Amino acid sequence: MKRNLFIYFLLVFVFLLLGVATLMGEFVALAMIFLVLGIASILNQPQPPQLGFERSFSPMRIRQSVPLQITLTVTNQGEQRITDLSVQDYLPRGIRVLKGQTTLLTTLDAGESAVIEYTIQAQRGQYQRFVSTYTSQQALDGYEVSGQFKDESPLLVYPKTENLSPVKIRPPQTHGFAGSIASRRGGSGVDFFTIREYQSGDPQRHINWKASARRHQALFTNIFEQEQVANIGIILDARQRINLRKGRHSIFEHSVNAAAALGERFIKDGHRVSLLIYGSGKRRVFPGYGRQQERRILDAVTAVSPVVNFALTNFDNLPVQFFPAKSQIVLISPILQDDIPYIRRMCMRGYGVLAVSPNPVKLVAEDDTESTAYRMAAAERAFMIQQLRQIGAQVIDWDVTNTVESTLQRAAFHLQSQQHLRRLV
Amino acid sequence: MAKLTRLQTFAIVLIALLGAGLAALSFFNQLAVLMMLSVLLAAFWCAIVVFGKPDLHLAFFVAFMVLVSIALLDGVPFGWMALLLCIDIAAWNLAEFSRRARAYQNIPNRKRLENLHLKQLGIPLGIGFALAVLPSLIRVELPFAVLVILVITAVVLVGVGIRGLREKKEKWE
Repeated sequence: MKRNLFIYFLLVFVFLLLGVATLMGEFVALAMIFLVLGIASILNQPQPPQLGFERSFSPMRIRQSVPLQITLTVTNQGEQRITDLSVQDYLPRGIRVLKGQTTLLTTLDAGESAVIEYTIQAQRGQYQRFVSTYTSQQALDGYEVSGQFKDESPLLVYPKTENLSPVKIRPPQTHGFAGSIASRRGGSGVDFFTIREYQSGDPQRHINWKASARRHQALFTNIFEQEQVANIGIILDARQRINLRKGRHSIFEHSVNAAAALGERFIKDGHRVSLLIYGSGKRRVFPGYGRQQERRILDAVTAVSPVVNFALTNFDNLPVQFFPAKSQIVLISPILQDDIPYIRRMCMRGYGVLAVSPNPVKLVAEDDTESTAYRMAAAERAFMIQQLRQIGAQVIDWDVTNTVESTLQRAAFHLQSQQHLRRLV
Repeated sequence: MAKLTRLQTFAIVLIALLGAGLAALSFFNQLAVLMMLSVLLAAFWCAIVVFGKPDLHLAFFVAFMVLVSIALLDGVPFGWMALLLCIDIAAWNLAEFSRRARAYQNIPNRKRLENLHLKQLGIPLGIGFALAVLPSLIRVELPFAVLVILVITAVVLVGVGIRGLREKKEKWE
């Protein structure tokens, strides 16, 4: 029952009272109008509508900031006409409507349908609670019937990833299959590795004539470095305490984007990639290859958000044994001072550790780079990175205002020039 | 300012009609204050319907109803007052509906929806108006003797009915 029905009957009473008080029949006659409206409201009470809702969107997985069209079809499955039906589609938080309307006001005959169409853009995440509410009411506004329809069909919005060029890593061990990583083993490949004495069956074009000319009665063959695939484990640090924010920028979002981009790149390069999201829980994607694995990794990083978990505030419970022995671990984390012993332990166990570390100091400081506080924080971080390098981890200090691609390229160039210098010395 | 919808226009026309009608009737009955008030209220209400806010339609409806009652007390003919009250109710309903519809951009079959709304509003309002006005038009003259006979018959019938029901109840017990 709505307010209006109460008003109709209240006015009947008021006019009757007025009629008695003034001894004027006209007021009693006016009360008849409201009495008829009240009775008509009761007789014409809307029945609970039998509605069918069908939501469709394709594809079910999209990239962040890619528009997606959603269509919600409302069908009157009952046998009576619904005169005044209003539908409101509520979208989960994080979804923005770009075009179209999420509401509908219509009248539906039996079996008739109406459509709500709109285009959305969503932030990274897994959305699976779309709620549509409907209200059927009468013209005299005396009654209304409301209800809601919950839709659990999931929509996955993948993080925005960059197209990375092949990442140069040196895992402690490679797999038997041909891939893109120099395996420090002789065999068929592109890069020169060493020479050895000619053995029958060696292709003639691999004979190193210069080396052979220096020795009497001996032939030497060029051996190339085998390029193979590796086991790569990505660790995404999702601990709440390291997730710093500055306005709309969040360290964690950058980490997620980097994890997704690196995962895609490693899969494209043919590596066996696994993922561990550490912080809110210990979500894992077991090692695997190919498109399916890429989808699994993207699905995992899509749904993650930093949550406080007191058991996982440091890397004490990091299940490193989840990764195959001697695999390359790519740790995506801003890294805290307390984490260094755990990273050292990983290195000591024989894992190759590459830490891609978004720099929280630069993110928070922005332009305030002259202050003492910034310089102290930056020095502390530089010292921490130096410590990590000393224990054998490769560290890429990532200023999140730059892209992952440019940071990786710069780091690779820096590493190459350092190696070159070492050789010269 | 958004383009006016059909029902919004109807509401404005009804409000204007209500204001003008009440003002004219007040003028003929020399009720100057009532005349000015009705014109002012109608103008404000029209403006609110056009701009869509604030939501004061109920207040204006009540205000006009009060004016109609005052006019009736001051001897303005009942038939006109009943008509103006019906217009007041219709204007209130359409103004409320227009305000609600304003929140919805997606109204695929607006005309059919509006027609059904008008129909559902018009029928009870018409019946209400007829029931209110008809008793004032119908005049039945009965001789006193017939009236007494009718009353006695009614009393006897009621008595028989009550007795019959009581016997039925005793049998049941």
